[in-house]
Amino acid sequence: MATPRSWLPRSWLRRNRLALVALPFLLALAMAANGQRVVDYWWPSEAHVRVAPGAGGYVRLSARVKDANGPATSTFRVRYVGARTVTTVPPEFDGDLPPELDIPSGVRVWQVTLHFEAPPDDVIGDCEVTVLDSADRDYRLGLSYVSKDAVDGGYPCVPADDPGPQYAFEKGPVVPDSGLDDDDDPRPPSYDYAVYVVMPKDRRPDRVRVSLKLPKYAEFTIRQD
Amino acid sequence: MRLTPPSAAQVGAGALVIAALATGRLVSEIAPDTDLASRPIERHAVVGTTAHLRWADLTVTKVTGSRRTSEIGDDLSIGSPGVWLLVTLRMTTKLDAQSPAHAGIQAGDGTEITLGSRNRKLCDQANPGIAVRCAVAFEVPPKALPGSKLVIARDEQQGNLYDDEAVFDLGISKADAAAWAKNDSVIPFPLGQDK
Repeated sequence: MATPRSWLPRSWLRRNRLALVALPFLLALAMAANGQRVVDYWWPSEAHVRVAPGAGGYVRLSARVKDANGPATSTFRVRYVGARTVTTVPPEFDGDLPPELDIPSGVRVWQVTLHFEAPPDDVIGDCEVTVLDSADRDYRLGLSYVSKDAVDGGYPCVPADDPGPQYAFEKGPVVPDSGLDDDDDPRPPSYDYAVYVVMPKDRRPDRVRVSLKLPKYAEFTIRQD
Repeated sequence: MRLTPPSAAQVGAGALVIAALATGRLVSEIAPDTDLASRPIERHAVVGTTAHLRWADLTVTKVTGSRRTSEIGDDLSIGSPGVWLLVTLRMTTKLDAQSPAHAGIQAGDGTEITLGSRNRKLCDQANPGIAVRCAVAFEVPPKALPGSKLVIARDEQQGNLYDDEAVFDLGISKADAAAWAKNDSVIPFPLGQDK
C-alpha cells in the first residue's frame, strides 16, 4: 500500500477508518431509501413493459381488480385487425343513425380496428387505447372534431351497445350494463372494436397501444389497408 | 486560564473557511436567483401574428369588448360593471393532444386577472397538427384595459416553470376601452363560428 501523502496524516485515516469503510455502503443505502420515488412517480404510471404477441398475433393482458363483490380478474386477448381512412362511420349501435361527419379539408379520419376476446363476465374497466404517429405524438381518440352528434367517451375496449358488466358499487349479481341500445344482453365473447382518430392529411397512425394495467401494454404496428 | 495563540495552520484554516463563506455569498449575490432561472420563457406576439411555442402555435384572431356577453345559444346575457374583454385565438398543438390550462390577463395597470369566477376559457383538447379555435372572456375594469396583455400557458399553475408561454399585446387603446365601456350590445361567447 502506498504511503498516505503528508496532507492526509496516517493518524486521521486510522481514526476515521470505520466511517470511511461505511461511507460507500451508506451512500448506496441513501439512494435505495429514495428508490420509492421511481415507483411513486414513474414506473407504474407509464407504459414500460411491452407484452409480446403470442399465437395468432394476440396479446393477453390481465389485471386483478376489486369491487364490492370482492377480488376478481379482468382479462382479455387483443390483436390488430386493420386501419383505414373513412368518410362515413357505422351507427354506434344497431338501429341508430350513423353520426354525420363534416370533415374539413386538411384532415382525415382514421379508423383503427382491434379484435378482442374476453370472458363476458369480466369487467374491462381500465382499458385504454392510444394511437401514436411516427414521431410518438399521442392523438386524442374520437370524432367530436368532425361530428356534432358522435358520442365520444363510451366505455373503452368494449362494444358500445353491449359493454358487459361494470364495477359493482354494491354486493350483488353481476349484470351487464345496458349500453347504448338499452338492452341487458351480455357482452359477446369476441368482437371487433374500432377507434377513430382525426389526423392532419400529411400524417398517419403508426402504432396502436392497448393497456389494461400499466406498466404493461400491447403495441401493434399499423399497416394501411 | 491561559490562552494559547493559534498555530499558523489553525489561522490558515480559519482564513480559508471565511474566504469560502465570502465566495459563496458573492456567487449567490451575482448569480440569477432560482425564480429567475425557472421562469417561463415568454413568446411575444400581437394580434394577427403567431406565437410559436414549444407545444403549440397560437394566434390571436380577434379582440373586442362590451358590457354584455352571452353564451352561444343562450338568450340570457351577462352584464358586467366593467367590460367583457373577448378574445378569439387559433391554436395548432405540436406535441400530444392537449389544451392549454392557463389563460390570464396582465391588465394595463399591472393587475393580474385570472380564470374562475365569471371569467372563462373555451379551448377543446386538440390533436397535434390540427388548427382549432379557442376563446377567452375576462371581466376587466375599463381603466385597466388599455395596454392589456393575454397570457396563455400549458400548465394551470401560474409561473409555468421551465416551459414557454404566449404573451399577446392585445393592442387596446384608450379609445377602444372608452368605446367598449359604453357598448351595451350583447356579444356572443365564443365569437362567431368560423372554422
